[in-house]
Amino acid sequence: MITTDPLSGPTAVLDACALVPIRLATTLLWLAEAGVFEVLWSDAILDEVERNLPKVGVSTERAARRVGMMREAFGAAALVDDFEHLIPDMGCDAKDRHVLAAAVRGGADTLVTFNLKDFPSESTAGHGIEVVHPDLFLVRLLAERPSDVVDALERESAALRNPAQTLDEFLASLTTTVPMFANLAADAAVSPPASASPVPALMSAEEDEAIAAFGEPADLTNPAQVAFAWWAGIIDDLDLARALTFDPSAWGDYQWAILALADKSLASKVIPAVDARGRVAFMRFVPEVATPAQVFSSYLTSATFVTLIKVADGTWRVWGLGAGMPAAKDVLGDEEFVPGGGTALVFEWLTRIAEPNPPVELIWGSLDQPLRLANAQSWLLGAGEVRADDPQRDVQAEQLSARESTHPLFDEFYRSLVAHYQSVYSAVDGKPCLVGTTETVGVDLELIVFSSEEHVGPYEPGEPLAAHSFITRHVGEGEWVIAANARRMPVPGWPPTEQTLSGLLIDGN
Amino acid sequence: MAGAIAHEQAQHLRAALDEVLRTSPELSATALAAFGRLVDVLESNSEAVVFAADATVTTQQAAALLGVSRMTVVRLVDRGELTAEGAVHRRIFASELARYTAESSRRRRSAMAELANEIGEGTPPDQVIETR
Repeated sequence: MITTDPLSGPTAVLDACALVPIRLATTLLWLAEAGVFEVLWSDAILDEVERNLPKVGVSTERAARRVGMMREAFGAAALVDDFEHLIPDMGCDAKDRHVLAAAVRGGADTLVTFNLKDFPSESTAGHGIEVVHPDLFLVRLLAERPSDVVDALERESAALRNPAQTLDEFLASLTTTVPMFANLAADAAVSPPASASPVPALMSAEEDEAIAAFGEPADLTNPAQVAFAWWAGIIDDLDLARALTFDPSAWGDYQWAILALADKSLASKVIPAVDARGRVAFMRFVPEVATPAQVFSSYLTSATFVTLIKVADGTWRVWGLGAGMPAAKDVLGDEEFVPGGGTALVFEWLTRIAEPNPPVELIWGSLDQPLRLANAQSWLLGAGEVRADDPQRDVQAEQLSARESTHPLFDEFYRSLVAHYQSVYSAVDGKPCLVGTTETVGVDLELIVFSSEEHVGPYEPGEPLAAHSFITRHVGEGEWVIAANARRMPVPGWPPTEQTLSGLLIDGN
Repeated sequence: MAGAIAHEQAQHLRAALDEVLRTSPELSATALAAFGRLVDVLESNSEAVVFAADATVTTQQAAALLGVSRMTVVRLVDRGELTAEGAVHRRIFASELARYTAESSRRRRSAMAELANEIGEGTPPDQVIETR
């Protein structure tokens, strides 16, 4: 007699919004491929994905191809149909009725979406469907099937070729959409929860004997000690808690934190942020009654995460407290994006472009891929190397624009590019000066304006100024690339064009 | 999914099967192929279920074996992706399930590998947008 597999996971309809971000989408699909959950969708959902992909910069052809691959991967098994008659009866937001109808028709128990408010519980409860945020959905799968989930993530990151990525690198890129899952999965990959449970997992503030698990008392370079002392402060010494808080003014009278932690214990384990190891870390408060074996599954019910940040002197502070983990970018905020790697890179780039033979690794290798490609396309057209209708032009441009290009024409192209840059930046003369402060112009983009020495001084809007704008892009681990040497982003094509960043004023180059 | 046996152990078992074929030629090729297939399955899956090729299962059992819901099995049968017999109480041949599993997992893996190419150096960071 065959019975239902006790390990069989949820049956989940994925809403279009969860399938648009490519890294999140493939993560969900690799987990479905591993049998951790059963994926369902519909033509209407996939059409919505295809229609919306151009909003995140995917061409319509590529969007069609990508959705075609998703369809191909899961075939008829994932595709719910014949649900149209149910749509009018659905009690959720009108534009989402088709999603809920597909879930009901497909026998799903879960609907995964970022738009929880569009599916009020009264619209779903009667159908036995739970609406879950993608981050929580993935965290639950991780809690229920840790080794299967980690194995699937390893297969996913191993499949990446362009360029190859480690599991950590891949997970760091997932924090923009599902930060809690990314951090917990990175942690589970190095210390599987099964082996972690005998660790002195949690304690209450009163238990002296367990304090050792948190390291040397009052060692503020140890995030666990900081969190522990901060928590002790929350209980009976708010001045101590304030002293250990990154920005105490944001916490008011701390009453909400006191209430939030009233029946909680602090688990001793420090979870580093996968996207900012050594700079941001998390610890979690779990229900006081929990036993070590329950620690991991308590993510599902009532985990409260404390976020810690390392400050300039190498000690840690409590940054925030909440039901989830933020992306490191949101924690580090200005710290991460004000003058730092990006400015230093452009400074060096502008200094050395004036040299007779500037190093190709710096001048060419610092350019972001779309900028390299647009430059290559522009040169191929301008130099008459390809005609506008040459079928080989894409291959030519791609080879020529590789970071370490071996294309036979690369040397000639590079010399011409350097000559062009040298003429554009001749006034800087190898002595760039930063104008004003850098400005964050996108989630990972920063605008930097340089000028030459003679223009040093406060910039008055409207005053003519020979300024050179650069947009740099943060690619992780303190690494930056030059995304544009203008105030507009390059858009590869034949001919390449430029695109204005929304919200960025165009006032000259 | 982690396999029930590691690759090296699987290789040992395959070598042993070859040895059996050499020393007991009376054992049929079909039987040996079935043992070989079992090793393949156990190498990539945590467990294997063995059926006679002409055994049939209910849609509920097929769902458990495929790791999908019964609704999905019914949908697959309705669309002719899975062949079933019987009009009301539909039953599916074990051999048909094996065929479907092999085909769909092959197709899935190759599509997933292709999908991985959608993440490249120039791919902008993931962001959540309002879709409609």
